[in-house]
Amino acid sequence: MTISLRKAHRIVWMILAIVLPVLVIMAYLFIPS
Amino acid sequence: MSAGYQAVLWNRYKKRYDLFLWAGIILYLAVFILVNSAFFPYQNTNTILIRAFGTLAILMLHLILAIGPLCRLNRAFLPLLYNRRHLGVSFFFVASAHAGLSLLWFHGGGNLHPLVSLFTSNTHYGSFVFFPFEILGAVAWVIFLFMAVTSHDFWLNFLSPVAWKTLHMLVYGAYGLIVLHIALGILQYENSPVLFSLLLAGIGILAGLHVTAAAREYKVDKGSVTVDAGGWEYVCRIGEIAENRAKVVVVHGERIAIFKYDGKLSAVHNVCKHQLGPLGEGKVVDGCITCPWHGYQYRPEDGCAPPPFTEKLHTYFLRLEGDKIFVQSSALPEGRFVEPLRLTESPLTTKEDAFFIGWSGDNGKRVTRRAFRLGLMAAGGALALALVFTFSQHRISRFQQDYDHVQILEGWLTNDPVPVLRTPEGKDARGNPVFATVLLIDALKHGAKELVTEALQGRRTAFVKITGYGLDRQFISCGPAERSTPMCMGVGIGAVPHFPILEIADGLHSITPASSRIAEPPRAAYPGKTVEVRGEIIDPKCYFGAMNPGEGKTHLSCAVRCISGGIMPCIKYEADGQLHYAVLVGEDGRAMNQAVLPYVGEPVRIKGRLQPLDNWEFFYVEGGIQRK
Repeated sequence: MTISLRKAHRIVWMILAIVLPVLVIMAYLFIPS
Repeated sequence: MSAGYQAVLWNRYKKRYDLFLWAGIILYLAVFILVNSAFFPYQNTNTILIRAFGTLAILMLHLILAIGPLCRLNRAFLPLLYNRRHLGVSFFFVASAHAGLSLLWFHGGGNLHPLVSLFTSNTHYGSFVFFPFEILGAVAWVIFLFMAVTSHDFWLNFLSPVAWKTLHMLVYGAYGLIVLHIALGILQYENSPVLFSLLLAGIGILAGLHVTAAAREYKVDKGSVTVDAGGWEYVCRIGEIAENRAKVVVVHGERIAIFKYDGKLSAVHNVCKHQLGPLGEGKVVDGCITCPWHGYQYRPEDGCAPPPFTEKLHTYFLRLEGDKIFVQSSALPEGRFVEPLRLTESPLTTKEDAFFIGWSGDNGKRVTRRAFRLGLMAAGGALALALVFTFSQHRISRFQQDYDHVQILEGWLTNDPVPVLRTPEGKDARGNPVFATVLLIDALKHGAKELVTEALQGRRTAFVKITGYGLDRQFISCGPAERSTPMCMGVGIGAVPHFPILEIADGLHSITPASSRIAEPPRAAYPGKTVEVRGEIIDPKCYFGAMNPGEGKTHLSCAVRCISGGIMPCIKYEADGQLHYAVLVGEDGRAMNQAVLPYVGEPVRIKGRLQPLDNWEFFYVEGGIQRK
């Protein structure tokens, strides 16, 4: 891969690694009932 | 490699890969369906299928996304990468089966096109907890569709590898959407710590692999050394490069691979023309640099793919000072011949290290066995997770509408306040006639108001015989909290089977006049009392019959469709430690289907008059519906 794609890949996964667990935990904690 | 385009360029390895893949898919589905059917025999078949395809799809997506970084971290996984596109397209078919079944089941058969219903049934777009999770899955599916359609090498060349690769990075966004689709859908519905932990573990493993691989690549990119005034960069000593392998250096942000082979040294651009694979991690095989990803080949001395192929790489000048290798930082035009540097030392006769080439029929048994073992481990893990998914379910929906047997009920038909049939069920201790009220609905997601109006022909009531489908009594079981429900209350009373709801079998043909043997019952037992209740608005057809219990977040859109189609809304509420159900009507006794739609499936507070009618309660809403 070219360096720009590698950079994009790195940034995307760093964001996903932080954002997704937070959103999943929020969804689990705030269940509509 | 191919000089032209074919639908699939089959080779022995691809055939074995696909055979193993589809055997695994079928085995997973078979195990999931059979175990679910065995341990939860009353579970709705559609629910089993939707969950079977859905769980398999998410497992396959994790596997697909893990292969890339695993290969960057360990070459042993390269055989899994070679045919990853077939794995991706197979995943798309599995995900499509989940999406199609869900769309038909929850959105089909209503008063709107299923696709329109998908986007308009749940309109809580501004809410996190009530967000329409189906939309997230639908958007991800569109991305997967786009990727599956453009997965062929034709599109790779048409768009250019960089554009194709960039577009296919959308899969990471689609993965995020799928995670939220699960988190805001089944995770909230099941409220299972097992599912929660598995989902977090999946994210953690994938993110960990990708971030680790990215960090390693970042280290390589940052490891470049200073180029001297003449444009030469020091690479390494000759002995540091293994025979037929390469050393990669970074010059001006571009990677250069310096290969040592047959007592010679050559340098080419590190990026494969096919899918931008890392040529420097490849090997010289039969005199050609061979990409570790898909086996594309190039001659080391001029960077050209051997005829009839036309791909070309940039080449570079090399210089030796003693045993130190230097590379010229300026790239030469693609395909430019550069005389390889001859090494004075004789080539090492090292033992051949295993190198996988997908299209080659001559891969060593060690490599193919290792790939087979990895595949077996993945399949075994998936099957184990199928069992975990199965036994972690605690909200099993039963299909209780009995479409195998037509039921015939006689009674007083009325549309006041909703379509019901009041069937005589014997007499009480004082000799007064006892009636059971059966809610009437039409097929699929439609109410029966118009049918009943037509059958009544202007009358308020009429004694009729109706053929339809009721609840299958063998599936009815009542726990302590359910004993007061209409589903349980009248079971076994009198000689006539008692059903809380009846789906009219064949439209107006199913309603025929009958001779009244008993006088018309009074409209209500007493005027009713004003109460306030807290509960959830449900549609009775899905709650009691077609999807029992059709409720909660995952059922919200379907309930909206049913109520929008004319099925009378009900409220499920708890009082005196027991569950109760009441049909919701307006203060003036008119239908309030449209008014309840924004509140379906969420906790609400309602004030009004509660009036019993035989085994059912009717709630005459006063002052609107409040969110709890």
